[in-house]
Amino acid sequence: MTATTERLGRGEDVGVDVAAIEREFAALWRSASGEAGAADLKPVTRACLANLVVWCEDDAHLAALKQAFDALVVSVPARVLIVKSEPARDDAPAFESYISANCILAPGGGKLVCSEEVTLVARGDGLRHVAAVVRALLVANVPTMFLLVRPPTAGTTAVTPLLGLCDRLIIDTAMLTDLRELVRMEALADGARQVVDLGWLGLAGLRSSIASVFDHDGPRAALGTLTQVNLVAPAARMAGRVLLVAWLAERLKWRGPPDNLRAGARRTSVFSGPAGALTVELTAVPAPPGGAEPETLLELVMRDQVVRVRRGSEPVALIETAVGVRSMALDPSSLGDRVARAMGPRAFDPAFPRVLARAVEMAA
Amino acid sequence: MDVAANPLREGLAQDRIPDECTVVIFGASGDLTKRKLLPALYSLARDRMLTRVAIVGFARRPVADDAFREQMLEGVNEHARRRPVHADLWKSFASRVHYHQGSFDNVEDYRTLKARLEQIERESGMPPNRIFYLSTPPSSFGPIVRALGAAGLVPRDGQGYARVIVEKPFGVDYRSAERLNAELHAVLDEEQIYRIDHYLGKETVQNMLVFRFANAIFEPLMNGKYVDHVQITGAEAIGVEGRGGYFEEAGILRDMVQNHLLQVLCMAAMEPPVGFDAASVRDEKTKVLRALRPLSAEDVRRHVVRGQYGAGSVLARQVPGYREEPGVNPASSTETYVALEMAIDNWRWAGVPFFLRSAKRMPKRVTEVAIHFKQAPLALFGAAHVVPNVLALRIQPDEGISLNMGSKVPGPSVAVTPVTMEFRYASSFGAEPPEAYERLLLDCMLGDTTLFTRADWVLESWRYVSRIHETWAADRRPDMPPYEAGTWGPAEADALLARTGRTWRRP
Ligand SMILES: NC(=O)c1ccc[n+]([C@@H]2O[C@H](COP(=O)([O-])OP(=O)(O)OC[C@H]3O[C@@H](n4cnc5c(N)ncnc54)[C@H](OP(=O)(O)O)[C@@H]3O)[C@@H](O)[C@H]2O)c1
Repeated sequence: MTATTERLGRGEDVGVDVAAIEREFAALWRSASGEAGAADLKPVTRACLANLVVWCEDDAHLAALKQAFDALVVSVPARVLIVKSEPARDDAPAFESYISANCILAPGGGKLVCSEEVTLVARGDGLRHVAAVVRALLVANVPTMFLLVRPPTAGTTAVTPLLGLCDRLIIDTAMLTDLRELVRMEALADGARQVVDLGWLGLAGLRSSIASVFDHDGPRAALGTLTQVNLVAPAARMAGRVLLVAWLAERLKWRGPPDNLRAGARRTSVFSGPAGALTVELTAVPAPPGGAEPETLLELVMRDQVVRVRRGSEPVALIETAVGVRSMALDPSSLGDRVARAMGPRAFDPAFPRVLARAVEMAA
Repeated sequence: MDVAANPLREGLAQDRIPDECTVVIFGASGDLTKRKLLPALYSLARDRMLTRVAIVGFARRPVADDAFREQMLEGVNEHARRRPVHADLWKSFASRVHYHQGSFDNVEDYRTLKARLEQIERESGMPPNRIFYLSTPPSSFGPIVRALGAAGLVPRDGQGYARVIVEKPFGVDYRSAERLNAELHAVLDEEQIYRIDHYLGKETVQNMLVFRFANAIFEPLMNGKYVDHVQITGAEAIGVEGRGGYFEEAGILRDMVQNHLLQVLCMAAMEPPVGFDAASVRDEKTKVLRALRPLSAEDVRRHVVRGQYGAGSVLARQVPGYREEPGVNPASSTETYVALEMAIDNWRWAGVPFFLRSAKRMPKRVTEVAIHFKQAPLALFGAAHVVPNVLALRIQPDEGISLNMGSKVPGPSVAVTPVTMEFRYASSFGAEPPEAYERLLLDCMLGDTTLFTRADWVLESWRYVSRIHETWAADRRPDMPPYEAGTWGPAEADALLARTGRTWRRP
């Protein structure tokens, strides 16, 4: 769909008064539909399929998210409530809020549909009030999602009540920089009703590519002789990519918890697999400064064959098997597209928490 | 190969992945192959809905494999939903695209085709799952299937599967459809036959069932107690677009009503199926056709209006009349407009007229079903303030659902005005739905016939429509009211509704 988005903003602080925020929205809608003048009245459609609560801690991250939400309004119009947590400051109030609206302009130029955005900035003590304000601002009768891409730096006190308000927690393991963060994330996710991981969604293409190798009876039987799995990944991506191995462990029912050993950038976990001991080796490769991202290599060593899956910076997977090399395009979707997908009914994978738990076993 | 037995496929459930197969396209140098079929297969591969698929084009003219791939790439570049084309993916996709020169009526060419398929399957380690797509003139459907049978290409239970997709039109009347069914059944089981109606591949047509049967609040109203009448419109702004010769033979009743609009009618009127499987859904659809009140010759004259467009202006462009179109007889009696008043004699719809109209050169392109509800039992605010409730299911363009209702005009006195509650597909789900042909090809690979037309449905639809043609043929001086291109049809069509105290809705 070709569409451009336009932001209508009220830059000034509109206070914490929830009724005032709703009044400001109403005024915003009136000004949006009257903008073109009576001669060319453009009806504005407010659309809302969900509430999206977003936790965010730094400005660069906030800017990236706002850009993603511009794309989001096209596919999942939602009321977006951004909670920005900042350290307490003497010269700033404990709580501030701003509103804006995202409108899609249809290709012909007519305004079609708008969704709403509230930014709540909470500092120090203000964090205590966040959940109450969010609770009052949620649009009734639509599902509520909580986007928390990384575990909060200053503990989970402010986040836990928000989790309780939400039907689904959306995390992003691809954004986690090390395995320790993955462990913390898993602990948080444990308290959510549903968890969807943007990183896991991003791996869907790679997972079907790997799965397709074993559609045939021969290779599938060989899976029973699997003795070693090696994963080499950029250090900054290891937390996300380890899910691939965890997925194999879960689907192929390797018995754990594994014995873990650590030597420098290399971690070894020994499971009990179909053919006895099954060794997993995770090797984190640091990115050269300024250079291209090192490729990810997943190697499945079976008795009579080795399957290798490679993925470089291009969204293409190369699968090397005994019969040759196959390339499969992976979806290079944007953050906005992925968030939209994560909010949809088909994104929920009930097996994901078990896969995450398997990954944590190896990270421990 | 058994994808379901693969433990790693578990949970990747959103992709219904079909087994590997080869699609043989008869009529591969034609327009449909380049514009729809190859772009659909590529987009499916791009979206990882396919494991591996080999394609073999079959047509008369000599073309080398590479040249054929080039032509197909052009088509994909121009028409595929997933663009731009991914160079690496195209390379591996195109490496399994082949061309086989042959004539439809030469059995020897089918034997060489068989050898070619076996070679492709052997070399790539693919199973003998084969789909034969008849994208050819309809006169070739029978001969091709016969030859496929003679060459042993479509065994009823072979090692893999052999399925045949048949393009439209399926027959031109009851008798020819019956003959064609018999020709196909002489070689194939009904389960091997996939009669395509691309309307059924449209998401919004499928959404009609979801809308009706996934929501509890509308279905109780969908009957003669609450519904006054139903209007189904299938309007096109285009004329015959260079296919004058074809349209002269067909007319709008064959081209749009017998297939697409009767399918839409069935989706709107059918009973809830016992399950969402092919047999249950198709059973219910056929029952609707069986319940259509048959038309006597007198009924046809009274309840069916036809017309032909004259010159006029459509979407700000001056256009010629039908009889001035190339390939059209200047004294043509082919209808470009038809309106019908239909009755469904079953418990649910007794007494509810269904008005259906379809035409070329209408003011705009629109397909919709509009359910007009009865008025409130008491005109509490005065007769002038009665607003009819209309639930409109728009199929194209601007897909969505709207509900009209009356609302008080703000102010001290009571005045009621109609307001509309709208749901638009595009603003609620920005994601682009797959093309109809993608969905249908994928379903065929998965062996799912739900969205394909079954033999008995085709016959029932022709039984109804052929009676109209027979009456028209018997009436020597056809009553063919003209209408100006760019209008909503002849005055006689308005009179058809006016007689019952109703008017056509302006979609
Ligand atoms: N085009 C559309 O948009 C559209 C839409 C809906 C349904 N359909 C249906 O789809 C089917 C195909 O339409 P189309 O527009 O693609 O047709 P087309 O452009 O006329 O193509 C006909 C094809 O059949 C081949 N052919 C004809 N006679 C042959 C013979 N004796 N031996 C071998 N090959 C022969 C032609 O090959 P050569 O050119 O090499 O001779 C050509 O590839 C028709 O049934 C049509 O009703 C088409």
